[in-house]
Amino acid sequence: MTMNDFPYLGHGIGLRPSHYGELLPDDDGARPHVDWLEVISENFMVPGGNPRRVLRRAREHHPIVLHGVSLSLGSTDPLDGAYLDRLAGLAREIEPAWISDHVCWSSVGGHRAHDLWPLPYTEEALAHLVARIGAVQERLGRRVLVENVSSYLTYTGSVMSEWEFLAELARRADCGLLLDVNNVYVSAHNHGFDALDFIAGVPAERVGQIHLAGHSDHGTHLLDTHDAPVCEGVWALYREALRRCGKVSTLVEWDDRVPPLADVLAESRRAAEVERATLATGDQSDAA
Amino acid sequence: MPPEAGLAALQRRFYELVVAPEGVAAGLAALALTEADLDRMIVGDARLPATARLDIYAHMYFFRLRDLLASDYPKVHAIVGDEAFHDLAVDYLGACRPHSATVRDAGDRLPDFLAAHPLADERAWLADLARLERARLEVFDGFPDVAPVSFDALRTVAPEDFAALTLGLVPARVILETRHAVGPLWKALEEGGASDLVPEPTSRAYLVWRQDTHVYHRSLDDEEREALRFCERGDAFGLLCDHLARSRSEEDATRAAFELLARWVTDGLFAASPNALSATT
Repeated sequence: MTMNDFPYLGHGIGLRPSHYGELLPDDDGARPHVDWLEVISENFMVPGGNPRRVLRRAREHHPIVLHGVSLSLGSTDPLDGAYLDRLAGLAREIEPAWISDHVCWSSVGGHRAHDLWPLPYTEEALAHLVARIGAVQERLGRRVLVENVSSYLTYTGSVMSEWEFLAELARRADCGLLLDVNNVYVSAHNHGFDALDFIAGVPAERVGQIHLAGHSDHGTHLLDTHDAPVCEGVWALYREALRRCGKVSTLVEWDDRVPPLADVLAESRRAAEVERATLATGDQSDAA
Repeated sequence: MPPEAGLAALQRRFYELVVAPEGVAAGLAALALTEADLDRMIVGDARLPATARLDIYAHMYFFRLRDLLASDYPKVHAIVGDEAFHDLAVDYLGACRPHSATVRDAGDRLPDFLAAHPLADERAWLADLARLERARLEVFDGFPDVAPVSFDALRTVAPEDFAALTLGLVPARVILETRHAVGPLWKALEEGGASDLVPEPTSRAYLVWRQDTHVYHRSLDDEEREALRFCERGDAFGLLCDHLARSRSEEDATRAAFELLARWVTDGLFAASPNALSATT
């Protein structure tokens, strides 16, 4: 695999409906600068109407990344061929910089969870995922990125750590990794492992994108809610990820209680500043 | 639940417990399992036992889908209130589990489910209100974009060629048949008005369509409903004129047909095959 599959795009944000007007004005007026946009694939896998129009307009001005939540790569249900056809059709039209989804499962017996459920880290799950990612990459005609999810439980049957599982998965499936630093932080807290071990354990050359997001503290556990600013602990972990992986396209996710666009862009600019400060000087701190 | 049970068995058990309507502990009991059984599958600790960990997923599963249903059916939600809607979501998700990769399809069976639900015992029109909300949702992005015929394009048709003009409609429209006149209630709720308006128990046909990026609906009278069937079949404009002439003079029928055509063009509803207009000129 070469990183040409996942070129460095800078610092992006997720495209959300409340920002359509400001980010993508109908006229040719001034629009705020953002390096690239990530969209939830399923929201745009529709035949027509406003979503497709918005996406076409976004594509005129920005590199677009398709980020899916329903591929259910780890499910023992058959891969959804109709879903893949629609995703491939969208990719043909939009020509995204890359396509990503999650290392999880979300369907069983034909039923859909619409959630990102964790897998056991076993040889069986690994082989299953490798085969399915291979089939997806074959169908889409490109390598994909797969993302580590936040989790609230682990299985007694796991025989390796999550980062060992991801490293082996990426190697065998010849895919890239979308390293969600917030998810590492949340899962480390919930399961009691050292987040730095995770960062040190992922294959840096396979990391094609980084996610940053906010979470919420529920006392007994952290919940990956994407409804708050990135916390200082996650920024610190991001610096570690940058030291390990170098420059990686980074996106700030904000999906609930979405603030004004200016606030999301400010988080994205902070990510850019953290990257500059970390990689240019090796300094442990940033200006923000 | 030994770890060696395999991935498929693990996923089935996880799912059964997460969707159990009364929570994971009740789900375990219903399956004649104990917390010790779950401990053999999921790692728990003093801070969060295995049952509590799986309950996090159970809560997220239900509340995400309940909130989605409330978002897709805001007027049904407004009518019945939070508590009754919550209970409706419990009943609905127990009977109609999501089956599609598209999360919005999770609520596609709610109108029919509602028709047979106790909530509809005293408000039989509730299911029709849900059908109207569902139709609007599906028209929003559920059909391909096709540019409607404009008045400018129609002006290129020579008067003597109109009779042969092929009638057609843009794909982004549905005609919804209901047993109650729910349109006024929908409008009142949309405008933040009274929700105590009771829809008349009378058959209605609603045309729901997308123009540009906006979704509209209006009730149809019998004549326009029938006229739209000519469009759906792709009949010629002349046939519509002949049909309308059964109940009025030929001159009045032609005028009525042109009035319908003008309304469809104004609404962005009227479509024709790419060569239909040029073929008549």
